Amino acid sequence: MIFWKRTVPLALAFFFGVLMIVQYFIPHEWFENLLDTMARWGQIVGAFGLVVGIASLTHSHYFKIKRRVPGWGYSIVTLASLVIYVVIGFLTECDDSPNAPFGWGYLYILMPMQASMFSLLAFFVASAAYKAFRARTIEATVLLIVAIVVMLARVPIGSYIYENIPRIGEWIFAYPNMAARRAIMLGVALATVATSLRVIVGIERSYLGGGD
Amino acid sequence: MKIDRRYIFVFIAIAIILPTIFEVRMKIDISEPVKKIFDRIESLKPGTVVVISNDYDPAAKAELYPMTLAIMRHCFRKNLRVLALNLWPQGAGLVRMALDISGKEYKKENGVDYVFLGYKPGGGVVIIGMGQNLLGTFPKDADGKPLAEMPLIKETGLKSLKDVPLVIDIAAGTPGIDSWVIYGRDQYGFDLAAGCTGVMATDYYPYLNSGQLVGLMGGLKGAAEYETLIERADEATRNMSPQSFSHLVIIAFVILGNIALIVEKSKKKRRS
Amino acid sequence: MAEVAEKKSSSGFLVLIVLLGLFALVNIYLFASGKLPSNFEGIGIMIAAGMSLAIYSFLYRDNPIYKLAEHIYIGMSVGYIVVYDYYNALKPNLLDKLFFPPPSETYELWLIIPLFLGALMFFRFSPKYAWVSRWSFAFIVGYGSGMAIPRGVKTSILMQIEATLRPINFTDASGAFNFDAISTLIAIVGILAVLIYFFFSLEHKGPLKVVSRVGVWFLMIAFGAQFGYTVMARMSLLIERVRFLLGKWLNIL
Repeated sequence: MIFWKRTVPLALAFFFGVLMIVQYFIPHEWFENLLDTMARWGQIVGAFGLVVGIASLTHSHYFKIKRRVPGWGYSIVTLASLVIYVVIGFLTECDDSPNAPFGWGYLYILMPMQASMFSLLAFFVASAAYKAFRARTIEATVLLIVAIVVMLARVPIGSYIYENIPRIGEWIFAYPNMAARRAIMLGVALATVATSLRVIVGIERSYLGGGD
Repeated sequence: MKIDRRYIFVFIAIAIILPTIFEVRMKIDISEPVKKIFDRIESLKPGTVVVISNDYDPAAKAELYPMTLAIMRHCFRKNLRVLALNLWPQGAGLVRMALDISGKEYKKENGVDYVFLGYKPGGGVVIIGMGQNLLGTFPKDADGKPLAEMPLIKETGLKSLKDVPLVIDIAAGTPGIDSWVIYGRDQYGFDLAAGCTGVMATDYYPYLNSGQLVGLMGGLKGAAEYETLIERADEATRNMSPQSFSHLVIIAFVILGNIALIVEKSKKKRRS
Repeated sequence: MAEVAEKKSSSGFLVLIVLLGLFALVNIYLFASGKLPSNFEGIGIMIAAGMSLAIYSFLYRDNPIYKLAEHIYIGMSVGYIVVYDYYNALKPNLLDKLFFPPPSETYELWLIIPLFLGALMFFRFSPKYAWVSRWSFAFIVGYGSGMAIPRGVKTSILMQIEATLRPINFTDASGAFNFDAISTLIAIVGILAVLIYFFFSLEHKGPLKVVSRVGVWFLMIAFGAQFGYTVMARMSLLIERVRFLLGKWLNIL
């Protein structure tokens, strides 16, 4: 059983990993076609992955309703909204024009709600600005001063306060910020390559999900 | 000094509502990274195909939709042909809206002057697919019409991203700009310009410095700068007024909070 | 305690009724005065405004109206993804090509392999056979890792190092001093300092400590810049919503 549960997945990860690395370096037509094929396989399997994620969400809400967990009424609302919208979508064949029910739901319910949900953050940033953004150390002071300069540089009123503020802001982005970001990018890329190699050779097995 | 945060919420609401109602138009400075995108599009010949990838959802609509609209208006004004797609499922409706609005303004025809490819899952995988074989990755457009039969494809002979000189990616996360740089630009050699939310903008300056991005629009100010360049003031430009005043209020809160900190510290010192 | 809780609950209910009544009155006025069109668009704007205000009610405190709106949003957004995923990915890329190709094309039978791999994912819902789904994840993870390594090395490592090591021109074409050269030198110092800061295999003492302190300062500048930009991003989201409520709904802009 260990063969099917552990060896086969590790072998698959190794095979496809090495295949895609080798493919990159060989400019032969067969390997170019392989890239195209693998890309399409990746899209299809990725689409199934989305469906699995959605089925997982539906599953968890269903159990909340079944076990009458506190707030289970809201789970009914979630599932009902999901089912109704999916049915509308399939009946109208995913017609997302504003005149069709599916498109109308997107334009007047989904879009405003998502935008509103994320716009709440503006209020919490303002609250944090007073309560949490305190210059307790020299480093924190540097951070706050740069933040204030950038906040002024990214709005037109900044240039009315001091005409060179936009240029100072751009200099901060293009040089010291760029330097730190590049170093972070190099570090992250090296870590990604190391982790990917560990996955391919089978040292990193967290994607197997535990058990055998 | 403790303040109920709901009073702070009221201050912010006023700082945004009043300048929105009583708009104050201010001069918008153009930054170098945004100007580079404008110049690159200006350098393209009429009839050239440009790909616009809209990798965001309604959560980022405020910053990125004005960018999308400004870029599309510029492309249509230059009589460029636009191939639009999105790598995020919930952004499709926004792209369609932008194409409808800008297409009607410049009397552009779907299938001839622009095509909306729609959404495909997979991120980098989709980009590679487009780079290898566009028609294989998107056999039909978002309305279900075969792509191979569209005049835009037939007349330009477009087969893959290798035939496209410029891709503009307007993104709010992953898949997004990183995916287009790694799987697209560095693989297939086209020029890549980008627009992104303010949260992510600072992350992409290394790509700008190395030349992997020809230009970068960051946040609502980036959109407002582009609207100024195309001489078409719209939502982003109008929103600069409340944006300015809200920033001043935030800065005031930061300063007030730090004054409160200094006062608390001196009180503690006196007590000890 | 129970009395206080009951009083709070009934006063909260009253506030809710009053606010709903106010919302209804405002909309009746908007429809009657013609500021909102009496068609599906007008109803849509009214619903969009109602949903936005329901979300904003959270700012006062967590309440049933906010929770209701939140759960409707979750359900609808997942439903949207399901429909979009089917019509834009599964149907054109798999089902049509495998089962319903156009008359001029043949059946692409090799698509059975990704169909099989995708279907295996559903085994994760079975407690006994969940291990079968590992094969699908192994394909995705192996394929993704193999794709990432050479491309990540080229884009995020080699090209970034190449950009850092470019020659610095201290004079421009006319022979005048190029002040950008100083900025470039500062950037190079910053890159090296931050890289040294993140190198934890050696203890940060002596010269290494000084250099890593410089790295910390560059990081603080970068995070400060990001924070400033983030404030801008958050405010933009709210400004757009306010413009919708004042402009499209209340029609006072």
